[in-house]
This record gives sequence, C-alpha cells and structure tokens, in this order.
Amino acid sequence: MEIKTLTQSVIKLDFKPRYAVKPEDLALMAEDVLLCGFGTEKAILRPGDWTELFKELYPKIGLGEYARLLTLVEENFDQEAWKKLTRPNLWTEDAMETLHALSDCSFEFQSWVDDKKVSLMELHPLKLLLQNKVPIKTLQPLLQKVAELSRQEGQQLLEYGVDLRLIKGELPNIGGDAKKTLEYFKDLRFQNTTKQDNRKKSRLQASNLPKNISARWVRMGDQAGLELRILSVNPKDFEKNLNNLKQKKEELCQIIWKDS
Amino acid sequence: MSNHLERLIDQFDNVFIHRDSRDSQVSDRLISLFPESKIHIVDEKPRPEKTGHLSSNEFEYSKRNIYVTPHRGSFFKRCPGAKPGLVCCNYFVLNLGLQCNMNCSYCYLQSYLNTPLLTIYSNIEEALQEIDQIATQHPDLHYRVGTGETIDSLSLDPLTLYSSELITFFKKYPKWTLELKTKSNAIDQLLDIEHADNVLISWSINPQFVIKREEHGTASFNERIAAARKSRDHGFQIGFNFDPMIYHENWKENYSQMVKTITSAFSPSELQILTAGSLRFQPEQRFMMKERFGMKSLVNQGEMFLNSTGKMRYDSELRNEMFQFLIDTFKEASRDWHITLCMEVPETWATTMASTPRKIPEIRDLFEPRPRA
Ligand code: SF4
Repeated sequence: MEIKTLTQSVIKLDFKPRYAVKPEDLALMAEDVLLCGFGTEKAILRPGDWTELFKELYPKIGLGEYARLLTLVEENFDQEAWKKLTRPNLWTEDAMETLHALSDCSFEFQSWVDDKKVSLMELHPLKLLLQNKVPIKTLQPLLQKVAELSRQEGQQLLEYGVDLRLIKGELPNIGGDAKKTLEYFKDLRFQNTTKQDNRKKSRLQASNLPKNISARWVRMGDQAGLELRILSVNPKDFEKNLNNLKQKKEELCQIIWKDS
Repeated sequence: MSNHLERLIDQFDNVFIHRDSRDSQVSDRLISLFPESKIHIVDEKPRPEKTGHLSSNEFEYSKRNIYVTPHRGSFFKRCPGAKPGLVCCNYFVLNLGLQCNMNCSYCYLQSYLNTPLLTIYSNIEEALQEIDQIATQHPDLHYRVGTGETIDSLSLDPLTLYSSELITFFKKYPKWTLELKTKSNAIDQLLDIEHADNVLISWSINPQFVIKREEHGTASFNERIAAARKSRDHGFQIGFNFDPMIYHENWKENYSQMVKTITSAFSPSELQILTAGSLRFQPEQRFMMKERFGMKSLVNQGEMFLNSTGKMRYDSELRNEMFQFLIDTFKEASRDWHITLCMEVPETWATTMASTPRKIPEIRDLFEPRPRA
C-alpha cells in the first residue's frame, strides 16, 4: 500500500457526495485523482484507472451529484472521462444540458433531486431556463419551494413556475407555504380553466341542495363535472333523497351549465 | 425549375442515398436535381449511433438531411385513430417516408421520430404491390388510403413525384380513395396528369393568424385555398381538415373568418370531406415543443390536460365549444355542410353532434369497420 503526499497536481474530485465513503477519514486516490477524504494531506494510492475506483466507491449517485461531478470533470478532463463514469443516458446533449442547468442550482435543490429520485425529463424546465438565458439563480425562491414538496408536486411547481416566468417575463410573487404556492401557480398557469371551474364552484355553493346531499365541482384531467354525495340511512330515506334530487335536477343544470 | 423545387433544393444540406436505393427512380431524380456536393451514396445509414429519442438539435438536423433507403416491412397500416376509446373512420395509411420539410410547433413527429434524417422510401413499387394484394382480396370494399401520416403527402412531391405515381395507380381501383393530406400548395406537378375521380386532396387548415404563429414553412391560408381551387378545377375531389384547432384569444373571430372564406369559395358539394380535431400531443412532446418554439407559441401556452387516451388535450368543455362553434358557423352558411370529428373520443362526438358517426347517415359509410389489412 503506497501512501502519497498530495501535491499541487493532484485533482480533488470533491463533488460533495451525499454519502461519504466509510471510514470518513479514509483518503483514496488513483492516478492523480483524489476520490474521498478530501480534507486530507496524504492519501492511499490505488493502482489502476481512477474512473474504475470512482465507480467502486460511489456505485449509486443521484443527478444532483452528477451535476456537481460534471463541473469538476469538465474542468479537468475530456469527454471520455465523463463517458467512463456514467451511463449512456447521461452522454446525450439533452442530458448534459440539463445537468449543466442543475449544477447552477442550490445544493439544497440538488439534494431534493437526489432524495426524491427526480428524473432528467422532470428537470427539463431547468434546461429551458438556460436556453432562454434566464439565470437560474433568479429562480432560487421557486427552487426553494420546490424542494419542500414531494417529487410529483415539486415537478409540477417547477414546470408551472418556469412556464410562467417565460410567458410573463418575471416570476409571479411567491408567498405562503410550498403547497399554497403550487395551487397559486397552477391557477395562474391554467388561468382560463381555473376561472371557469371557480365560476361553477361558486354557483354550486350558492345553489340550494336538498338535505343529505352534498355536491362538488371536480376536475379530473381534461374533464370537470359535478360530483354528488348522498347520505341515506335506509331504503326509504334513499328513495326520498333521490326524489328530492330529481326535483332539483332542472334547477341544478340551469345553475351549473347555463352557459354551456 | 419551379419555386417549390428551388426552395426544397436550398433547404436540404445533404441527400444521403443508400447504395441499395441507388437504382431507384427517386434517387435518379434527386441526383439530377441537387448539386453534386450535396449527394452522398452511403453503405449504411448516416449517424447510426443515434437511436431512440431525438434532441431538439437532432430533430432540426433531420429536417435538413434526406436519406433515401428501401423500406423494410409493411407499408400499409391502419390509421392511429383506430384505437379502443377513439372513434375512427377506417382510414388506412401508406407511409412513403418519414419526417417533413415544414415545421409546425405541434407536429407529432417530434415525439415519434427516432432517426435524425428525413427518410424517403425508394421502393414505392413494393408499396403498390401491397395495395394490389389487398385490393384483390377485397375488391368491393371502399377503402380510404392516405399518405400523410408520417410525411406530408405533397410538400416533397416536387422532389419525389410519388403522388403522380399513386394517382395513376389508383385509377385501377375506382372503389378505393387515395387521400393526399397536405399543408403545402405544391400541386402543380399533379396538374400535368389526368386526374382520377377517386383522388381526394385535403388541406389541413387553420386561420392565417394560427398558420403564421404555429405552422412554420407551410403554405399560407390563401395559398392553400388557391391550391384547393386549382385542384377542384382540375377535377380532383377536395377537402379540408380543421385540425388541430388551436385556442387563442380571438379564436372565434379568426375561425369564423376562415369559415366565411371557405363557404364563399366552395359549395358544400364541392368539398368531399371536412373534418375537425383539436390540439393534442403526447405528454413528453411538450419538452421539445417548448425548446423549439418557446413559450410565446400558442401551443405551448395552451392549457393542456392529460386525457384518458394518454394525450394532452384542452379541457373537454372548451373542445366541445370550439367544435360546436365551427359546426354552427358552417351551418349558418348552409345546412348542407357536414363536419366529421377526427381523432376524438366518443364523449366529444356525443356532445357536439348529438350522435356518434355511425348513427349519422351522411357519414356512416366512412366509419363502417373494414377488414384489417
Ligand atoms: S405539415 Fe404535418 S408533418 Fe409537416 S411539420 Fe406540420 S404537422 Fe408535422
């Protein structure tokens, strides 16, 4: 086992991995690349290709980590090194651009990407920002909210936020908690549909429904409609409720679908 | 040389011809038209490493580079609308190529194409043999065959002359209809041949406002109307596909103006087919659309929802409103106008037409099931 003192020429590939190699003070290098124990002065030199050792030490890393790694690899090596370190789906032009955009995001956001196993496709809005020359840092308040959400909700908020930023030329105000921000952005992104749904909702609220019957205006994808709940305690009650509802049918249709 | 031809020759950077296609008529023609520097005879497909989903740049590249190759496999396919949950019109597609030289923001090829080249199949004679076989098996059935699914039927025709060949071929099968679908006005090469009664040229059309914003490189509204008139005068059957209808602020005004122009330029009996469909695309396609056309595009700004068929569509009420408006505007001009909805779900049919197509006498025949090819 050869211990080497780190010289100027050693490249420290500190991509801030989420899970440190154990034991944490272990410092390993191959060729002239230090791959763990980044705070050290001396490291164990392992024989062979440094990319092989890297893969051995970090068998599973997330996109956020890859984004940080890409910056370091590009600073110090050529495309071949990147290819050796990653799977072919990260060699494409699309993937590289998305990773570049992700490398401009905060560490907190990158960690959310890794924790939630967010896919490259779901990060596409970041690439769109880069292509439209919008500095990613200006969207930090949005990314912060995204990082508070689940994978699906976060991905939605990211997409709505970037769409709105590009349509309106500025990011709408972000206030309240992340879930409220998501609702607010969704309403803005689907402005006309939301208006229409809200109109139906308020008409429904103003309608006088029979006792034991409640109604909601619900949206499921491209369709929205009336959802009814009827509470009946016995067959007689059930029949009564249905009759009451039947009497209300015309009125309800008029109120809800009057402009359809 | 016509303007169309000149523009096409300018538009393409390279024409790669696979050695197996070298002796085909289409290769001869391309070699005679393009400058030598653009022609390359190749032993294998260029950029073979590229498989799977294309990036935006690769897609752009595919619009500027032609690859001529024989088609392996069947040419003849059922329309993609013929799926459970979608009402469809027994339409068969004959794919003579892949990719298009025009550039619509919503084009479904953006999620479909996995080769960064505009492919032209050189073995059209094998396609015609396939049709011959099916025609012999079902001589009395009325098939509709379209060529505009994976490539525009006419826009590249000045280069390939394929439609002329098809028109001549279809004369043998008077019960069949050849449907050429286009957004171009490249019809002059068809006016030299004697028309066949069973050839229908249809234009996908939108108001000029939409064409300008979303259908880049296509013929303008007036050019399409003029091409339709010329084709009618030459004796072809003609039609319009209002597809995809695209929502925008002044959509009513613009679509109403479009209908007015059409109803004053043509009579109902002159238009054999009028179909309508609304904007739809695969969910993952939105990424490329946003990259390529930006967020100022009406399509990218659209409020799209995932529908039960797995595609992004407008809210169903908005779709109904748009279709109803279109139908009503036509009916205001005359009760004799009939519009068919294309690639729509049965609910839309039921709400806008008060029936499904098989129950409407005028168009029932189009939707009767045919044996599978
Ligand atoms: S004309 Fe048709 S095939 Fe060509 S780009 Fe437009 S939608 Fe696509």
